[in-house]
Amino acid sequence: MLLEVENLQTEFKVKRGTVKAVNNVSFGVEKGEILAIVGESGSGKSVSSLSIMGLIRNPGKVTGGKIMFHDENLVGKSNKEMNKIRGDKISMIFQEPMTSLNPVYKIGDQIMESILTHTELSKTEAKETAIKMLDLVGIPSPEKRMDDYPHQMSGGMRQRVMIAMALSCNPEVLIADEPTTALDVTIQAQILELIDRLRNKIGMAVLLITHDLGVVAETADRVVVMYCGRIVEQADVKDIFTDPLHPYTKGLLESIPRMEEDRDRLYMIKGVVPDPTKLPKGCSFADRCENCMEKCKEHMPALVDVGGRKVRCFLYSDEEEVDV
Amino acid sequence: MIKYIIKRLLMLIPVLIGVSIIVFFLLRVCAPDPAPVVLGQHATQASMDEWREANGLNDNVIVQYVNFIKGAVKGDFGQSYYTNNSVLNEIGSRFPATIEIAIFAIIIATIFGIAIGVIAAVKKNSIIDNASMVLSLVGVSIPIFWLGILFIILFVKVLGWLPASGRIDAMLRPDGGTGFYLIDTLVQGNFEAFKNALWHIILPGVTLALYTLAIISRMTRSSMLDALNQDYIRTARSKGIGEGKVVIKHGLRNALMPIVTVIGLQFGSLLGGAVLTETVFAWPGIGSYTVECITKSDFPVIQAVVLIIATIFVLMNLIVDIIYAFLDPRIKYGKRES
Repeated sequence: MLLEVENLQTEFKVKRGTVKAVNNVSFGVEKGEILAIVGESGSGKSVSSLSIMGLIRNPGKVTGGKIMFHDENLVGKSNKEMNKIRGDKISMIFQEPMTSLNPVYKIGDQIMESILTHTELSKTEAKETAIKMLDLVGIPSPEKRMDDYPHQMSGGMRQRVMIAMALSCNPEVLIADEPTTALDVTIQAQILELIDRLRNKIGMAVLLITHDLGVVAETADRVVVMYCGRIVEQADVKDIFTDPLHPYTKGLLESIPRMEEDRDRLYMIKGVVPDPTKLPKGCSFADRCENCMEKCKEHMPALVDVGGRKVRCFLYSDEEEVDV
Repeated sequence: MIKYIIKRLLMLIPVLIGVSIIVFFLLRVCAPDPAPVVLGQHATQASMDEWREANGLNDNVIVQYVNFIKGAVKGDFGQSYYTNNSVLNEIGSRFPATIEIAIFAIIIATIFGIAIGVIAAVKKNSIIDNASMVLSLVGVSIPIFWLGILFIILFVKVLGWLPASGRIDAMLRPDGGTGFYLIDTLVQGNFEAFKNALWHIILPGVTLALYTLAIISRMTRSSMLDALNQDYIRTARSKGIGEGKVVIKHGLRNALMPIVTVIGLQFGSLLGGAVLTETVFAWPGIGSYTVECITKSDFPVIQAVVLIIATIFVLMNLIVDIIYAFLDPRIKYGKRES
């Protein structure tokens, strides 16, 4: 594995207690692979990615586990050490293209900043690289656009700039945190197609964080489904869509509107996500689950292998989570 | 941009007309009759009448105002009732002292205010943050004249480090030049005098700076906290650039607008003369002089000073607005968004 997260724990200390935003999460991503992390707001998917980047700020903290990258553990590295990896070997693009670029600097300078930070290139060479990157992400007349400020560009264009910036140092891993959520559908497709194309071209691994299963189906190779800070299911993308195991995954898939069906009401998962400071004793999903059993309310199921994939549910195995 | 600046400068005219009307008529309505003040208590009625006639105070008040404006347009604000010197000369001889101390104070306030504000924002809720914000609250609320006196007691009486009053020792006063002693002494190569002038300006300058420093540091802190929470800061961090660069280049640069506004307005009011500080430290600037003239009903001087201060304020505002355009590329004056 190029990047392997093992038993990651990230906690936030808030007034009402401690939130285990990421609880014992393990996954890995290979070179050239797209791994999707799916879950609703608060499931811990963004926190997982920020943990990998070392960008968890107070009151949050990575409290356990390992993040192995090239046989090096990123957990516990100093900010200075992480700065050598961030933006160079692992880079990230964010959900909000409208606000993620600094409004007072030209986009060209913002891309060059990454290049100049991590390479020995001269300013002129960095500029050439930046222009090449803008061209690569499909921005027309890139030389002219170098001098544009973010406010002179549309949301889709800004997200392309973000991608150009993230890819400017040829990262081995790209973390894309809801890269298309803020964009309209046609632009979404273009951006996803772009990420997929670049993955093939550069051979980088992509960690795609999303709540949109449509995006997953189109791009991902493997899928991790998260709920309340834990992984509930992990499988190849084909398996997830044709044969979902966990009731939560099933619910998510059910709630996607389908062209071929004529329905008055969309399916929805009943109830709401529990308060993260007061998670129920047993399975976090028990209260909302249609297959809930007595046992589910008392015990947390373990994440177990089921025919080459993983699921955390008593429907498939009686094994309990040891460390709750 | 140039069009915009010209437009703003033209807007100065109605402002000055308004200010001149207010100050002119307020003086005639509220201020004590200058004749007995100028001529003394024992002046005869006849001599007072004669003095009033000579100074045009017996004319219809509208006529007086028109005459004043006629002169002002030509740059003639009349003579001081007491010295019979031209008002502009009187003011001109005191303005360098005020400008010098205002610049000194604004430099100190800006450097330390921004530094404290940035550190407080970066170390939010730490001891440093709380301590500096309590101190700045004290700085905003403490009466300057009282603080000035405390400083004199400590640094002059107890420690004996600094002189208590004046701009420079009389023997060392530079002849001619710009009237800015720190510059004049340097230009003349008289380092002893320069040091002497510097020693003199420290106490009043720092006293004057403290209030502004406190305001700037509070504004910097809140503006920085806002900037550091923005998404582009996270982007900057994700690029792997150093934390210092993240804070200064990406944070402070975006936080500057309100800070520049405060600095501009504060500098404007410092240039208008700091009455209390100038009085406590016997600093021969425009502030203490104006107050003296108000108590003596020296109408021509008061009118001129108020107009000059109003002009300075308007110009400072204009300068701040121009700086905006350089700080934020989204601001374009005089051009319609295409």
